[in-house]
Amino acid sequence: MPVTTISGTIVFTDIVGFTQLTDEHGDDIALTLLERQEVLVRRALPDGGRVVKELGDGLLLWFDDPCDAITTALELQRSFEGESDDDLPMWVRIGMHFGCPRARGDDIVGRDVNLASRITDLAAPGEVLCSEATATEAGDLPGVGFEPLGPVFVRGIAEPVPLVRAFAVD
Amino acid sequence: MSETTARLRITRRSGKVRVRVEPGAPVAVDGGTLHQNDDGTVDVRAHGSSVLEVRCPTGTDLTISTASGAVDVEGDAGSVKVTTKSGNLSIERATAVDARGASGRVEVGVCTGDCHVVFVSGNVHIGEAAKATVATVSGKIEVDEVDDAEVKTVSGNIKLGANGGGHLAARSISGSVKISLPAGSRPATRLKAVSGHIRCECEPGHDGEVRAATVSGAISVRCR
Repeated sequence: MPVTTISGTIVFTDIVGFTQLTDEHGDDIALTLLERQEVLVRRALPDGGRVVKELGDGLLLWFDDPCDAITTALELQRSFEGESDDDLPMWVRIGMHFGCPRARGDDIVGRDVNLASRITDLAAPGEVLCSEATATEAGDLPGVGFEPLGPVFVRGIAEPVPLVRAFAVD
Repeated sequence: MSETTARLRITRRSGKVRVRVEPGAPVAVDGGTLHQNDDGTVDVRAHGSSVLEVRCPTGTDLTISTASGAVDVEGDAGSVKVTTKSGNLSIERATAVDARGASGRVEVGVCTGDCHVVFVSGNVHIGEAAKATVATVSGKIEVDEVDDAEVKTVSGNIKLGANGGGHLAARSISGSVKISLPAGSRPATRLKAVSGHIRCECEPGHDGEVRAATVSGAISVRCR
């Protein structure tokens, strides 16, 4: 299989509480959550964005354009909040990193993919966290604010990585 | 080092970080080095394995990054941002807090602005905050006095003491939610427990808003 290096933004979504909900309420709940997530994500994807693969209760996404990645992630959080109800909370955290992973077929692998995943671990439900590299690459985005959170140490990465929180500005 | 320095960035991979914020204190470090940046921030880097002790003046903004080790901020700080993989965190007083980590106990005494805590596991206790936004997977969340709050946990219990008149939203999947309000409060309420018990002692009204939901826990709203 040919391997190439590509440049773009790696995005992870992760449903918080998925295991607990499934454990307490059964597999049908799990399927409902996954289907809701996938429908909303596929509906929101712009040209240049795609689902790379499903990862249990999350998705790995790819965006050619970091601006699209950020605005789509914020739009998704609004959609998830709209879909969430008291019976079935749709708590999703989103993290991303702009980098140059290796493309192997439709899949992407490498340090930058791992970093995007670690960034997602630090996000709260409803939040979008980005590496500073992503925000820098995107530049000024209408309707989007960035709050620096400082450098973070992440497992498997030698140096701390500057992190920002992206948020919608009314 | 000038006393006007107002922003410190403290980075340490492992080991305890202790920051003492004192009126008029010059920025000083024991167990590390200081580096003044062009943008006015001061970088603090630790050396060795001993405790990193930092002194700085009241109101200093702090950004603290560690992989492991306790973080202790004593005194009256400005904005405090902390990221850690594991380690207990204690902040006596700050104008704003953003704390994120995988595991550890979080203790915030007073936060006069937004207190934002995101931890995977570990108990979170906030004494006073204007607004508390807390998210955990497991671990107890307690806020003694708060105006507005938005709290989410997967399996932890939530206990909020509200000042009344604000907006409170507390959601847990399998934990319980206990909210106490000042005597005589008449909030608008929206309470939903899918399979748990709901008890509300407050008369309905428009004195702020209380929203609480759990899937399998219980909900209690009472006037103290």
